[in-house]
Amino acid sequence: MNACKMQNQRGQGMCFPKFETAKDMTVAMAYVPWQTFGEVYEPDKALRIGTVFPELNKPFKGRGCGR
Amino acid sequence: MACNMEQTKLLNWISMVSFAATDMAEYLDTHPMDNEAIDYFNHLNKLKNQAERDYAANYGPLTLSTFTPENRWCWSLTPWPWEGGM
Repeated sequence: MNACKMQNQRGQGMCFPKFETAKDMTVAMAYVPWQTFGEVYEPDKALRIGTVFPELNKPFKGRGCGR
Repeated sequence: MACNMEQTKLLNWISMVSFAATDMAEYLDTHPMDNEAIDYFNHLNKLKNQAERDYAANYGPLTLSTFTPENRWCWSLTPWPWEGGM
């Protein structure tokens, strides 16, 4: 469940809950992993792709993931 | 009046940096203390403002914030899209 680990930002006192492991999470709730700032696309590519963030570049291919 | 290459290039650049600045602004809405992201937003916003000022100085204002008395009320004086304007 590493992908679902929600991280707080470098001890900056954000008011978001910090879930370290899946066992801290309530069942039947949806969780979004916390995004952190890292690599970015150049402005021309960002406009073409539709996001500045490579990790959010998820082109729709009309089929389920993993297929 | 046909749009020249430089004008088109500058307009495209404004689209690029405006989009990137807006995307960064959305990131900062949920990460307001992320200094590295704030620095990058400031960098993009500076590029955007400069490009909009350059555009206004050469081709007329695109936004109310780049309107200056010198370039008059150009909204209505520049060509409409169906007249070859942008």
